[in-house]
Parts: sequence; structure tokens; C-alpha cells
Amino acid sequence: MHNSLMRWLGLVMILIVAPGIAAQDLQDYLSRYLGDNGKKYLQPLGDAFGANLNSGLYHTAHIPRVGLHVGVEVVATGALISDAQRSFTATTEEGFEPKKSLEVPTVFGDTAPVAVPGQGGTVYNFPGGYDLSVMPLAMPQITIGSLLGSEVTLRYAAAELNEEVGDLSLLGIGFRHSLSQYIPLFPVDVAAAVFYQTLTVGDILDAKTRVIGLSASKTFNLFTLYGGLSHENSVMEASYEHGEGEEAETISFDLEGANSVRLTLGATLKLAIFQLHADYSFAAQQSACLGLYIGL
Amino acid sequence: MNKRIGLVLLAGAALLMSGCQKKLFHFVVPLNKVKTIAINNTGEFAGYEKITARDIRAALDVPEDGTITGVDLESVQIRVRLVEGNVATWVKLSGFVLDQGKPVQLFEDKSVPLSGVDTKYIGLNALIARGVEKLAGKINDHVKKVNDADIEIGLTGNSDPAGQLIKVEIDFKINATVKYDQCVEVFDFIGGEDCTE
Repeated sequence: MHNSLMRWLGLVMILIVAPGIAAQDLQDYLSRYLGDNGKKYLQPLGDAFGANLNSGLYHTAHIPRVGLHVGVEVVATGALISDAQRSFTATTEEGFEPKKSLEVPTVFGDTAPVAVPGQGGTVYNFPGGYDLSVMPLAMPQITIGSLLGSEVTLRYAAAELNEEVGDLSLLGIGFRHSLSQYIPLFPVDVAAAVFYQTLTVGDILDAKTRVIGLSASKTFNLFTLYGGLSHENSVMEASYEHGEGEEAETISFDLEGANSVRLTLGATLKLAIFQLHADYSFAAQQSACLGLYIGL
Repeated sequence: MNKRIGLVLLAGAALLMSGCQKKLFHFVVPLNKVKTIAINNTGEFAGYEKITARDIRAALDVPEDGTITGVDLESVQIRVRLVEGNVATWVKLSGFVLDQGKPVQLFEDKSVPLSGVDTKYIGLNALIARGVEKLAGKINDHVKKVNDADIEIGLTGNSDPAGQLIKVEIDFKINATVKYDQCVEVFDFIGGEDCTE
């Protein structure tokens, strides 16, 4: 079977998790899954992907009222995969008798397939996963400010993949505005922010994320402690053809990220033009972030 | 100051770098095959179809460096489509696989209503273990290139009540899974078993 869902997962994993794996290999894990099973198998990937995309959007709440500052940055985020995300309750597909439900690996679960005996010596095989405890993601971004205590952050990446998969495009834009500038002698910096990101890969993958939130920070010499509370959502749409010839049908579903509210706590170390920052986000899908910012 | 900058750069580089190694993955891929047997008969009938090794390998989706570890038969389904002129309202079907010229039963006396041309597949919940084992073994022989002899499957049956004109096309669908192992180069943080190759 060679369908878009498999290409989709293969691509996502290739780009994000496992550059060494050929699409074919990853497709084979998914080739057993359709509909509800497929969605549950992939859901932790949607959760992790959304949490990662919405990480690393700031490392301070300090935004000067005026004056040019430009910085380029690479952020590396890692969504921490919990035990609950490593398995799900799957049901054997139509045709297999008797119908059975049991715990099997998700895309992040154990690599070993699970075999279920059926009547008359038949066997249903559920595929394994990739045995991941962290799902990482690295993204470039650039921040430009300040005008009236505001700055803009852009994430962008584009690549021509191949004819089968299509082109990749990551575009993110964020706007932050200092609130503490309106309150003289306020002890900490406070900023409000909104971010919007899209990731498209041909006709296979269409992911969107939105974040709105508040952040605060306090600087002590070289160190800045920062934190933030945000509301976010993410959706990855999967659409694929199942079956061949006359039996082919289009199946599509959305993978909505688990996160809605996120509390982030972190610290930044500033050394000349370099700022190294690390933070941890408490949310339904917890994640950690490291970033290196170079700029003025 | 230079030391500090060096440390920052080192940390950044470590952040962005990750080694790769080969890990063993156990893949499971479907192998589905549909054969259509046309029946135009009054009373008892029998029909046969052959599945060639070429058919099986064309439907097989295993990379060249994958090591096939086994084949399981997951299910057998049938779909009966009416052809113009059919009189019978029910048909009773038995299925078999030929082994050295002798039929080994896969299922027996499955009653199927003849209801139209756009019907759904029916799962068979009384498959016979010996037939399942034979069919799985023959598919295994094809995928492992052990024995390329054609797989012959067949259906026998009659209308219910018996003796009516049956004009149908019966889709005989075999759903199998092929298990294979493959060593794949992945980032270190991906789990799984180490490759010994």
C-alpha cells in the first residue's frame, strides 16, 4: 500500500525525527492502520508536534520602546513523551474475527508488533512504534524590533522535496508588545504576544498553530528569568487514499494538539551578542526548549 | 570573554548535533489479494482461480534489505455481486485451497444473500484452521521465494433452496500480513533494538 498518510508520516518523521529513515520504512508501520486506529496511533505525534511548534517563541519579556534590534535564533524543542502516550486501545479492523480490543503501541510506543490470535488460526498484527521518549524539533527564527515597544518574530523554512511529496513550507509570524512600558517603575518586564504558524507539505500535510499569551521577565546581570502563561491550539490535518482501484476511498482526519493552556518557566544567559536560553513548559503535553539567539 | 563565547558555541553545537546508529525495526505490512470467480450455473457449481507468485510479489511492499520473518493470514472475505438473469436469492458457499491437487477446506456452507450488484465484503467467522495454515504457508512460500507454484483457490456451492439459476461474480479476498525486519539508520534518541548486522 502506498498512500498519502504513510507518505505524510514518513515525511514528518524524516524531517523531524529520523532523517536516516526512508519513507518506505515508516510507511510500513502505518500501513496497518486506518480510520480510528490510525488517528489514535498518530495522536501523540500531533500533540508533540503542536507543543514543539508553540515553544521557543520568546526568552525575555523585555522589549525596548525604541531602537533597532535584530536577532537570528535557532530553537531546539523537545516534547516529553509520557507513558500514557506510548499505547492506545486499538480494535481489530473489519474482516478479522472475532473483533478484539487491546492495548498496542502508538507511534511513540514499543517497536515490537502485537499479534492477536483469531479464529481458525488467523492472526491480526498491530504494528509497533519508534520507542521515543522525547520528540525533538529545531526551527530557525528572526526577531526584529522595536517600534513603540513592539517586535516581530518570523519563522521560515522552505524546501523542494520531491515530486511525490511536494514542497515544504514553514511560516510563522509573531507579534509582541511591551505592557510594562505603560507602568513606570514596574519591577518586571511584561509583554503580550500572539503567534501564528503554518506548516504545509504538498497536499499531504497542513498544520496550523495559534498562541496568545502574556510573558514576564526580570534581569539580574547576565541572567534573565522569564515565564509566561499562554493559550494555544494546534491542528494537523491528515488526508489519504485507502485501498486500491475501485475500492479506493479518501480518509481524512484532524489531529488536534492536546495543549490549550501552557505555563512556561525559563532562564536566559546573555554573553555579548549571544543569548542562550532554556525553558520548560507545563501543559497537557509538556516540553522543554533550548535556544541560541545571536543579535543586538 | 572568549572562553565564555566558546562555551556558548559549544553548547549550541551540541544542541544541534546528534549521532546516528542502526536500529532493528519489526515491520508489518498488509498483503491483500482479490480474485473474482464468475458463476453461471443452475444447481451445484464449482469455480477456481489461480494466484501466481508474480501476483503476490506485485502486491508485496517489502524493501530489498528487509528480512521477511513470516506471513499470517488475517482474514478471508467474500463479496457476491449479482449478474443480470440471476434467479437465486441465497447461495451456500464453501471455499478451499488446493494442495497437491487435493482441496483443503477454508470454510464450509456459508449462506450469503444475493441482494444486488453493490454489496459489501462479508467476513468469514468460521474459517477452518487446516485451510488457513495451508493458504498462509503457500503465501509464505511465494514471498520468501521458496516455492513459486501457483496458489489455487476455489469455491463450491449451490443455491438455497437448491437448483436455482445462479448468475453471480464472487470476489474472494485474502487479507494477509507480512512481517519483516530491517536495520535502519536513525538518530540516537530513537529507541528500539540494536542492529547486529
